[in-house]
Amino acid sequence: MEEARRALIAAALAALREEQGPGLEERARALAEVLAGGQPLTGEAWVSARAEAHRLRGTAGSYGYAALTVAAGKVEDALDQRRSSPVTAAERAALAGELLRSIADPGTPM
Amino acid sequence: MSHGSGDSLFGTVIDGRYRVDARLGSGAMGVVYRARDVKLERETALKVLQGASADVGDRLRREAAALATLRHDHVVQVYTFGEHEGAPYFAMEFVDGRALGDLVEEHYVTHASPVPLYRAFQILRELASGLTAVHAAGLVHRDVKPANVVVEHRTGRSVLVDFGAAMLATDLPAGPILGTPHYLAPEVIRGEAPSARADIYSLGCLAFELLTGRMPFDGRTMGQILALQRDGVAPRPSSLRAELAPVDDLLARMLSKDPATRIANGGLICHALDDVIAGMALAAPRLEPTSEETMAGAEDGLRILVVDDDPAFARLAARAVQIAFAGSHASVSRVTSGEAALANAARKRPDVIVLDYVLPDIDGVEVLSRIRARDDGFHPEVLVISGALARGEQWRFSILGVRDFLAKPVEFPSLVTAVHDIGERRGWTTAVV
Repeated sequence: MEEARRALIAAALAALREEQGPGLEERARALAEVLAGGQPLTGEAWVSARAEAHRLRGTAGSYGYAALTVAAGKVEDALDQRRSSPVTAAERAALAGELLRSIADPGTPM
Repeated sequence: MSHGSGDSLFGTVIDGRYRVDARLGSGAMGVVYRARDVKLERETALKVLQGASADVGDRLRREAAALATLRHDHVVQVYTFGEHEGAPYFAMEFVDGRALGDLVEEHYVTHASPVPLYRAFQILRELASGLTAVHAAGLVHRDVKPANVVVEHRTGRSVLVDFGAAMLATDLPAGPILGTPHYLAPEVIRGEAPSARADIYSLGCLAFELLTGRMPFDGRTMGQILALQRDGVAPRPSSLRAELAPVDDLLARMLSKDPATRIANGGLICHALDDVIAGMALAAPRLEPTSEETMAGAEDGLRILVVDDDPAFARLAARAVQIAFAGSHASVSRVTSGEAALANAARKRPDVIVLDYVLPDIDGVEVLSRIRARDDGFHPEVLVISGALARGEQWRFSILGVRDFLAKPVEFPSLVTAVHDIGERRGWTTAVV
């Protein structure tokens, strides 16, 4: 019975990953573009990027994308810590790079 | 039986009915135990007098008889009164929750964060309403303070407990002062017989503390505190927290030194708070498409609401709910904002809410504060899921009676199990998970 339960839940998660995975990857790419772009991350842009990083941090890992959760968490933390002095272009590029690497090799589902 | 030790009753079955399981606490008049009513199969609180003199025993009997006439959501319910081997006891509703005093301390002292205003006003309104019923029954509580209020797990309702000092208002001696100095009315300190208005004053002190984290009157010694209660002038709450300006006058009237000019009863406090709360109304909820997943035959089944600003997470949570409640005819709604959650909750009265903390408009604490404010018996089970919980923020929900939490990112099987456990606790689930 326990085995059947595990199989049911694993199958459900696999189906969810298939359904939602591409969207999560697309969102990570979009966030990486914002970070890598030259627009200043202040005001509304800061709020929007920070909120998306927060959402990805919580959601990606729940779908098994552990590396994306870690990368998005770094973005959220960096934006939180540097609100008054914007994140530098080099930092932004590094964060964007980590986001892209995380979806290139999403790893094994948790 | 010896009543010298507080734990001597552990394991005892009193009157063939109440099995004493744990000691909850003790006060000036007795010890309170958690006991199982083996006949009705429910948890009860059992207050047992130890070393009772005839005078104290009589007082307890009067307390029990008067309280047994009371039925109010915000006043602890007394079931029965009896004696066990010469020791008087009474059985009452077991309110499973946390003392408001602990919750206030957790906010202001541990986390340096005020109790959310809407929630604080609702708690005060509930207590004012409860006190109205107490006074209408001819009782005076005589020890209204945060330690004597329990915020119940699951429902979040606040309940006035421990009527250890309560006595029939018609039978009040001007004898020894009962109560707690920080909450004592000036006239009681002067030796006058306590009245319903003394309870109103104590509620004013509680309100000041709940709203500001500080006592209206404080000192290094009991003498200083009592002197300030008698003669001091309380600061205006808005001088400590600017957003409290709408209740400055109300608290000044509750803390009036002269009982004759003090606000007269709990009903008037409720009225005043209703006006303040009405001024905190949210704008009309934004129209937002709600995603629905309905299982076969779900029309009369369980209703579950998933609130999360990430549609991908909401989808995941909804699927977990479906698995957890498979075979239970459940329908799942998904919304992505706090205001939409309130609109959905008002319309559909979900049995379970899976609630995010960080939302784009109002946060999860505010959402649940407003849901808990409903006075129509609507008490959904709540599972809070948030990344903020990984940073130890679940304390913010304690004052709302929440005790089911998961930190994001969640493991999908754990999410299914958490929802299933809630259903099992309420006897709703049939799924084999």
